[in-house]
Amino acid sequence: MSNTSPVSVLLAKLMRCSPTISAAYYDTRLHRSEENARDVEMLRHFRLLSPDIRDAYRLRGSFRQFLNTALSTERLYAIGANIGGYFERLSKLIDEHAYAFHDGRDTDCERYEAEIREAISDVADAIDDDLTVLEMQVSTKFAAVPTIAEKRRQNLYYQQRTQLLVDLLENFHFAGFGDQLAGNEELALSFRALLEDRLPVFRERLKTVLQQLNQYLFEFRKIEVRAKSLRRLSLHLMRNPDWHPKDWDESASPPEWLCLARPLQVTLHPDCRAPENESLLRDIALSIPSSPGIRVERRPAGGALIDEPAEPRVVLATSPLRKALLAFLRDASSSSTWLSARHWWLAHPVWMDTIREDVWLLKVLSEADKQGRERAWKAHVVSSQPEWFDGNLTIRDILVASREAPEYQHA
Amino acid sequence: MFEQAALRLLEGAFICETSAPSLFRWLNAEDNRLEVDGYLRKIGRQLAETPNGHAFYASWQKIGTEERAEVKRVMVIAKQTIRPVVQFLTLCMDANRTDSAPVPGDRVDYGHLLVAVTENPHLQEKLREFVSFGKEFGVSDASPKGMLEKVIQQMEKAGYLVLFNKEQEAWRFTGKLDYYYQLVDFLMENESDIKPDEQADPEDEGQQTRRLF
Repeated sequence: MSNTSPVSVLLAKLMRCSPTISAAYYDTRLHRSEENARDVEMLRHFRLLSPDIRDAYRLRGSFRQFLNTALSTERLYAIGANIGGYFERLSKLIDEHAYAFHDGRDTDCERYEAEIREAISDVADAIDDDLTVLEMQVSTKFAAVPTIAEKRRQNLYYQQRTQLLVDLLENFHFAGFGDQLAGNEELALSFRALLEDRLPVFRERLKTVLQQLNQYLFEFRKIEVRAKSLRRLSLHLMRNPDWHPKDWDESASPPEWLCLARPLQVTLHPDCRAPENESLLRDIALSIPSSPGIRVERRPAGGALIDEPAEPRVVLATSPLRKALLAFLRDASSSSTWLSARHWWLAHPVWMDTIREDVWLLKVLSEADKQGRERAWKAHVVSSQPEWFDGNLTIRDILVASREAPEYQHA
Repeated sequence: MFEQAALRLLEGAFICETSAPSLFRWLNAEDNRLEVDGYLRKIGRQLAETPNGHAFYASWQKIGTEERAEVKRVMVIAKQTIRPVVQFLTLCMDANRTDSAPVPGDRVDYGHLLVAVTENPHLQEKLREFVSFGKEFGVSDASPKGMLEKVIQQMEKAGYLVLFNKEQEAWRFTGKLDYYYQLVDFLMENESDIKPDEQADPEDEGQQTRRLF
C-alpha cells in the first residue's frame, strides 16, 4: 500500500485539526470561530461533525463511539454494540455467499467472502469491546455516579445488558454457522479462530461480570443500610456530646468485636543450644557463600614508580644514667643481700664518671617510687628526720635487693 | 506465608486485601485458614473474620479471667475512637457528596478532601471538632491543611487507612473498617439511647441535608 492511500490522507488531515476534535469531544459541543472555521468545514465535509442547537456542532455518533472505545471512556448507560445486528448481518452474508456459490458467480463469492471475514471480526471485536466496558464499570463499582440509587439503577441496567449478551452467545453457539462455513477453508478458519474458539472465554467473562453485578446489588442494599446507621449514629453523637457506649465488656458473654486478642510483640531469634536445630543451622552456615572479596589486601598507596629512599628512622640512644640504673638493678635482683646505691656508685666509676651522686640517688629513688609494676627487686630507703619537724626527709642511701631476699634489718 | 500470617495476626494486625493482599489471598484458602487457626488455638486464640469477609484477625478463643483485662482495654479504645472515626467517615461522605458509606478499598484523596473542606464552611467546622476528641488530634497549625493532615495521620495510625500512593497523597480504607461497622451495627441494635430513624428529629435531619449539599 502506498503512503498516499485515502486512509493515510484522511488521518493526516484529521491530525491537523486534532485540537478542534479534542475540544468537541470533551466539551460535547463546538462553536464556530475564526480559528476553527477551516477545521469545522473539513470535519463536516468528512461527515464527522453534526449540527447542534444554537449554531453549534457536535461530533457524529459513530466517531464519538470510536473515540470512546479507543480511550476506554466511561459513558453512563453505555448502549454497547449492536451485537444482535452483527449476528443478523453475518447470517445474511453466509446465506448470500451460499446462493452465489450455488449459481457459480465467482466474483460475488469472493466479495461475500471478504464481507463475511469482516463480519466475523466485527462480532468478535464488538463482544470484546462490550466486555471491556462492562468489566471496567464493574471494577469501579459505577464510580461515575455518587448516590446509591443511581448506582443501583446503573447496576440493573448493566445486569440486563449482560444477561442479553449471555443469551445471545448461547443462541449463537447453536446457530450452526460453523457447519455452513465448513466448505470454505479460509472462512472456516476465520470463524473458528476469531469467534468459535473464543466463545467459552467470552461466556465465562460475561458470567463473572453477571455474578459480580448480582453481588453488588446485594452489597448496595447493605451499604445503604450502613450509611443510614452511620448518619444516625453521627446525629446521636452530635446531639449528645457526653454520650458513651455502655460498658459492654462487663456482660457475661462480650460481643465478638470486643474479643480482639492482645497483641504480642513478636521477635524471633535462633536457639543455638537446641540440638534439633543443629542440622538447620549447619545448612544455613553452609549456604553462606564464601566471600573472598571481603579480605582486605593492604597495598602501598599509589604514586609515581620512583625508587625513593626510605624515611630515616631516628633511634634514641639510652642515656648513661638509664644504662647505669638498669645495670644496678640487674645486680641487685641477682644478689641475695641488700645492695647500697651509694656504694654501687662508688664502685662503678666507669658508669658514673659523668653522673653526680645526688642525681644518681634521685634516679634510684624515682625508680623505687614507681608502683604497680611487676619487678624482681625491692628497695629500702635509709633516711633520717631533722630534730624539729619541717616536712623534709634526708635520704642517706637506698638499698636494693632481690624480691626473695629477707627483709632489711636495721642496724 | 504461614509464618508471616501467624506473626501479623499475633501482633494484632488486621489482614486485608488493601494492607496485605498476598497474605489475605493466602488466608482465603480454607486449608490455610485451618492451619493458622489450629496454630492460634494452641495459644488460646483463634482466627476470626470480619462480618463481610474483608479482613482476618486474631480473637480470644474463650473469655476467662485473664482475658477480661484485654476485653476492658478494647472497650476503652472503642469508646475513645467512636466519635473521631464516625466523624471522619461522615466527613468523607460529605466531601464526596455521596450517600454511600465508605467500604474497605475505597480511596481517600488528601487533595480532594482538602479542596472540599476549604470550600465548605460546614466541613471546616466538622474538621475543627476533631480537636475536642482528644489530645492526639491537637495541632499547632490550626489551618484546614494542618488539621486534615493530623486526622489522616491518626486514622492511619489506628489502622483504618493505608497509604498506597505517596506522590498522589492517596490512601485506601483497610479491612479494619469492616470490623468498625460491626461495632456500629452492634451499638445501633443494642444502645437504647440511640433513636431509630422514625424518631429522629425532623428539624435536625433537615439541617443535615441543607448542610450536606
